[in-house]
Amino acid sequence: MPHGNDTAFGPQEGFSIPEGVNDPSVETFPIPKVSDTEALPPYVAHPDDFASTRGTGGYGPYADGTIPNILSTPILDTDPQDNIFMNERGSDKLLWSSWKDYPKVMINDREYAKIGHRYYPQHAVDRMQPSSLGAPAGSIGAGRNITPNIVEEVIKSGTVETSVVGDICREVYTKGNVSVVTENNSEIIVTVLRNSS
Amino acid sequence: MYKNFIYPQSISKLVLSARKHLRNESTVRDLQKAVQMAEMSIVAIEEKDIRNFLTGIEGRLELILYTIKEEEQIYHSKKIAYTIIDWLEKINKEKKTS
Repeated sequence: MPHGNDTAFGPQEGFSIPEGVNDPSVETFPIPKVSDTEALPPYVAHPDDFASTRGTGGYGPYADGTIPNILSTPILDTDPQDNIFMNERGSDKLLWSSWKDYPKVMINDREYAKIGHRYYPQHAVDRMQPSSLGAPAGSIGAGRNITPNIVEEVIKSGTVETSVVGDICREVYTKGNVSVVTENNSEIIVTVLRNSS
Repeated sequence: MYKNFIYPQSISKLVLSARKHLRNESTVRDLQKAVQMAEMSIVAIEEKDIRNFLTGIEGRLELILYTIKEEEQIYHSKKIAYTIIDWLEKINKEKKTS
């Protein structure tokens, strides 16, 4: 890119380099010495520093005005065994991914993915996938855009109905247009579905 | 027959599957697959109401499969097959008159 009065490209209209910049004897941008930076006071964040990240999902100040200490602590602490991601605000975030990414557990000769403190068969995990990705391999229907956190929310605050299939008692939790079918005291997620909105 | 829809072939296939189900020629899972196929092929925003209807139908079939005894499933799924045909016929008539 031609820049200023770069001799390789010739002089550019409207640009001129201030006198002395190309003179190696003139120190225009002095590099701070280590001893100078050590003397600086520690950086203290101010809410205005995060103004541009407000409402964007960025790491802006919390609603009460306090500032996350993003400079000295990691943003996420992870517990890989349970796939729980704990953010600084103390809320649990469960990993939303495909079947192959979850740790597996065998229960009664059946394989389950362990997400948080619940167990999901592959059928349920496949149905939870983002619909925009299409159908997971081996299934026909696209995913239903349901995250493990939505499942938790539906179980926590949805209405519940029970049904008995064979000898198994199943619970159907519904909130909004999402339903979650569980068994074994809601420890096992049998399937998830969307109702028409 | 369903040429007023944007995806007439998908609608025809779905109605055919629903009729087959009513004649006991297919299982609940077959009907659910047919609904899923139709739902995946209907992507135009103008027919989002059809897509939304099919999403609900697919959910109801899933609920039948996992919360109702096997011997009672066919009774409930046939009611859904009727609903599919009725609803799509109604929309078809509306589209013809508009």
